[in-house]
Amino acid sequence: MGFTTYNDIINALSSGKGQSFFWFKTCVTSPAAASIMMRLWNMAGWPPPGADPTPALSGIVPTSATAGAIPYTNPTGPATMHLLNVGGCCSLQAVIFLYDRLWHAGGINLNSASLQTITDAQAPTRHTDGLGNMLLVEISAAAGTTTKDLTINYTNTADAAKSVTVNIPASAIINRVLLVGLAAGDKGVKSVQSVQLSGAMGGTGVANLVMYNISELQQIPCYANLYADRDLVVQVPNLPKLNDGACLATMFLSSASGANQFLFGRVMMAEN
Amino acid sequence: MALATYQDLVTALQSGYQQPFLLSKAPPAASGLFASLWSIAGLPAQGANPTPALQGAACDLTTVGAVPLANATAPKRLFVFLVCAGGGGASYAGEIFLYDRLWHVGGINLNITSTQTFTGVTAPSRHTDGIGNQLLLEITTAPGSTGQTLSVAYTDQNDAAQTATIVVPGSAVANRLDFLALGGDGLGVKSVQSATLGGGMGGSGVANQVMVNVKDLFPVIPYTWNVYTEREMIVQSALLPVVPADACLALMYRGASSSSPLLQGRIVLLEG
Repeated sequence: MGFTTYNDIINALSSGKGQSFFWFKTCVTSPAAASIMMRLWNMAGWPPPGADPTPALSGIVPTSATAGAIPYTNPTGPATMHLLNVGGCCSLQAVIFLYDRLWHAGGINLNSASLQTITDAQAPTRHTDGLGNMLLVEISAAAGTTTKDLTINYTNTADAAKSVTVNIPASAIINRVLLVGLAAGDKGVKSVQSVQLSGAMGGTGVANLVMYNISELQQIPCYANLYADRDLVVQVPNLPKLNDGACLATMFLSSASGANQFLFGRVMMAEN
Repeated sequence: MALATYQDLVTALQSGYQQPFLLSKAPPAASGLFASLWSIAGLPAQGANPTPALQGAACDLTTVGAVPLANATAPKRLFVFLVCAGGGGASYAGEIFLYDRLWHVGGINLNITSTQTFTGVTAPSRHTDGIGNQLLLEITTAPGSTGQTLSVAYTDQNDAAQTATIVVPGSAVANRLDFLALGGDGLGVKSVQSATLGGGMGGSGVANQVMVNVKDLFPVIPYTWNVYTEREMIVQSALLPVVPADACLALMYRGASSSSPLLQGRIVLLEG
């Protein structure tokens, strides 16, 4: 199913099939510099803060019922849920990202050069074909002072074993987000098997590995303290479909440093 | 009932109505902070701080201070179709928010440490399941210069006793609004029982506690100073916010500077 006409959208919104959520978060950690990406997953506000996945190196598939996610209600099948409008605002000029947190694993030791194998669930239950699935690293405890490369071993959309490397900067601050690319020619990640640092970074750094789908990533550019929103039907027409149980979360790319940045926004969705 | 087509919406609009708002001098809000317009003179009529002290009251469309509304004739519902707003004042920008003021209590003394127990009505008459309800602290008289933590005892959506907290900044300006950090899973509030300050703040500060629901809180109009902005709520925004029956529709804003702007505009409503 889907929306066939604009009238269907009006009908859905006026017949109780829309869901709207105001969200707000305070990012207690200063991004440290411009163009640093920060997570909001674990920050206080609404939705309430999410936790780092435990136990260490055990894969988990979060859903809309997971603490930290926007707790929307799934559509009544065969209807499908679509985002209609996303908006946001930050104390700084920033880009706010809304994404479905498909899968995550925590407890990656940033002071170990050993192979760290992901156990239990290694794959998401949404976007199981892996197409468009990408990875990011979330620093959950500040890294040590020696920069190292983290190699991530994953299975691609063609079920081939691949690896990709991301640099973990020295002293990477807690809550920093590092986007990870893919091996040449790859179109996505089906599952993640293990990670390995090129050497110990020193200190007591820890990281999470998070999977999201790039086709669902919503971007909201905003000037400091000025709310901006995106109509996803007419203005930026893609009417993204939310998979049932999507774990909607936020992160942001900051234009400057500064602790306690306040961010808020709204998500509007409707089922057909 | 529902609006089946855009033509239905146009037809409904012809019997819709508009409510202007004009607030000649909104309270100064430090950059990036929320400010209440509840008790500001103008249109809609100035709302009163709830009395007697510590006695809760559920708000509805008859509460003085609410945007004047008439409930839709069942089974129709009331929608916001258009919001226009402008702000006057040097270097001023911000957002105007519409929200449903579910419940409030006043007279919270910000200079005593004894538990202040709420009496009378302690729960809202809308969103009675508590899901999505959040608490705001609304400063009505600026407190002294010592910041303190205010703990608020409440019952969550699962009927469990919880405590919400907020650090009330020293010398917080009147009309400042801040969200409390809820306890437990943080997903809702059914009723509110008492408030306790961690220590005296000095001075003669007083505050209200206000309950809102994240589903009925809309940052609708971002604007810059001396510029009038219009926001159509369906084709331009794909939102068509529902105004709950009996809603106490109220305004608040968030400024990008600490000026005291003129705020004016109108809200166009229709039934469908």
